[in-house]
Amino acid sequence: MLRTEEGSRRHSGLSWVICDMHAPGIDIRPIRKMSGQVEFAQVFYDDVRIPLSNVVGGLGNGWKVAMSTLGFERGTGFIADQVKQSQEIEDLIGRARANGMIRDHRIAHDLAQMRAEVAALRAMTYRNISIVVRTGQPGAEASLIRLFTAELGQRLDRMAVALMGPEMLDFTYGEDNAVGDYLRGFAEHHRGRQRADPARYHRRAAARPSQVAMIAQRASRPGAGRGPGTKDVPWT
Amino acid sequence: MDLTPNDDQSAFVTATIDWCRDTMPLEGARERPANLWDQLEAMGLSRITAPEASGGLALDHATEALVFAELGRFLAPIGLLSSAVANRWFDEPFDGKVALAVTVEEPGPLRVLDPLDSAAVLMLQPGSVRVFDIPDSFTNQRTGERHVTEHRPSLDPSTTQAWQEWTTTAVWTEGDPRPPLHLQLLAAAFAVGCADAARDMAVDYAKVREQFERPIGSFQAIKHMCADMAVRAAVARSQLYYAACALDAADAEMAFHVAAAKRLADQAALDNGRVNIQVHGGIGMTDEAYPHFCLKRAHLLQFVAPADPAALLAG
Repeated sequence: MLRTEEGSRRHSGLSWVICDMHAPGIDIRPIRKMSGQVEFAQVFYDDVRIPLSNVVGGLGNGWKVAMSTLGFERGTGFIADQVKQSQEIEDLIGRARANGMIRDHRIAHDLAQMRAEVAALRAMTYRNISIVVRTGQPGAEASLIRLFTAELGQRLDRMAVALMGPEMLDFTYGEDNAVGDYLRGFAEHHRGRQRADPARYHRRAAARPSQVAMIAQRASRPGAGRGPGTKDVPWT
Repeated sequence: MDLTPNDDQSAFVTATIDWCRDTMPLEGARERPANLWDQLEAMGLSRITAPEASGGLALDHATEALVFAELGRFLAPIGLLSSAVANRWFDEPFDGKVALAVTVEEPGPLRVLDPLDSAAVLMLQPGSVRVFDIPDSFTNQRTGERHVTEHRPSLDPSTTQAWQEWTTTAVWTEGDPRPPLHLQLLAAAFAVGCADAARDMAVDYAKVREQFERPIGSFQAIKHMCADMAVRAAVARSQLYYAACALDAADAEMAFHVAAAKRLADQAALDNGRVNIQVHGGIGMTDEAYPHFCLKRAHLLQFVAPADPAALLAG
């Protein structure tokens, strides 16, 4: 999403575009997480051109488009995560039983709490789907689900490493095990927090008019486009 | 009991901080200078409480705990914990670093932390500490071949580990409850330093990182997180110093106070480590930023002389 109307403020003047990430001028620099995995990147857009036909939902309607896509993403897009969590809690209970740690009252208490929460999460999601069926779009509750999923996920990850004992010390960068999940969970939590507060998330995303935005804006004017001698607005 | 550091203690602490800042900054925890251990030895930091007869400074546990909290703040080598304990309680001085084994049950391997160039390995066992004659490298007398232990990475990027076979060649302390408490106290001091480091890193970042045209530290959500970090660190540090004084006085309740210090320090280091990452936002979970160093060190310290609930609930 980018600002396509010069001088516009806050939620207006934004447009939602689809960008071909192989387009010339896009520089992707991978960022390594503290778990060793490379799952996100810094992306620089330098003189990138995006055709006007890639604008979704019409120029200037970016905020509305983003709200609809995020509503679905938060409400139902994470159902796969939730299914994983419901398997994870059963797995953790099984492991705690097998290694005897379930006799530790604190661990038993935490496992019991999380099993209840996984059930509640499923109930919340079903409820949200009912809302979609009735009204055609997810309710604001979808944001609560997202935050709850992220934080519950973190606690499940913590329990998984707590059940490991000193083997936790043998973690190496990029390893795909409970410690790796736990460390990656910090990113999940952060993302969850941001998404749970749409105002904060989107204000940040739209904070700076980008090069792409400027070009889209030029493209929106009749007769605009790259012609001989046309110079694109530099990255700001 | 005077719970304020005296002038000598404060001077030692200040000198340690200055030295650490120059020689052993936290940012360099992944790769330490090759001669770092020699420098730490030359500073006397592995022999603060060791008797003068074996080249020690013969100072009290209170001073040592304060200095170790500062060393912990810079993520100093884990081998300092075990070396300080070995040098304090055994008459025969050890020739160089004594690495630290995480206590496991036989027949599991001895998980030895910070094995680089170590002369022996110290392990905590119920009621005492044991030092195994397991050098990091040695020459086979018969074949003249040089054996060097394989070092593996650990969760904490500042600490390597080696897996060793158990051996019967060992010395151990007997009849004195203090040696294991000493190890627990020093590990607590490292954890207090780790909690301090996370707190300071978060607060510094909250002052410079701006969002909505103001430092994020001006937002209450961040401010409260930083205040909670400060509380946890202060709680743990107070108990650390109290426990050190109790150990110096061979107080009847020293086992309880040292265990309390370790438990609170571990919790403070873990919680502050996590919150520090949160305060740093997106950059906080990257490998290039430093917050994960504190969190990972906190997790490692959890496995060093953990506080047994029984010690805290006794009596």
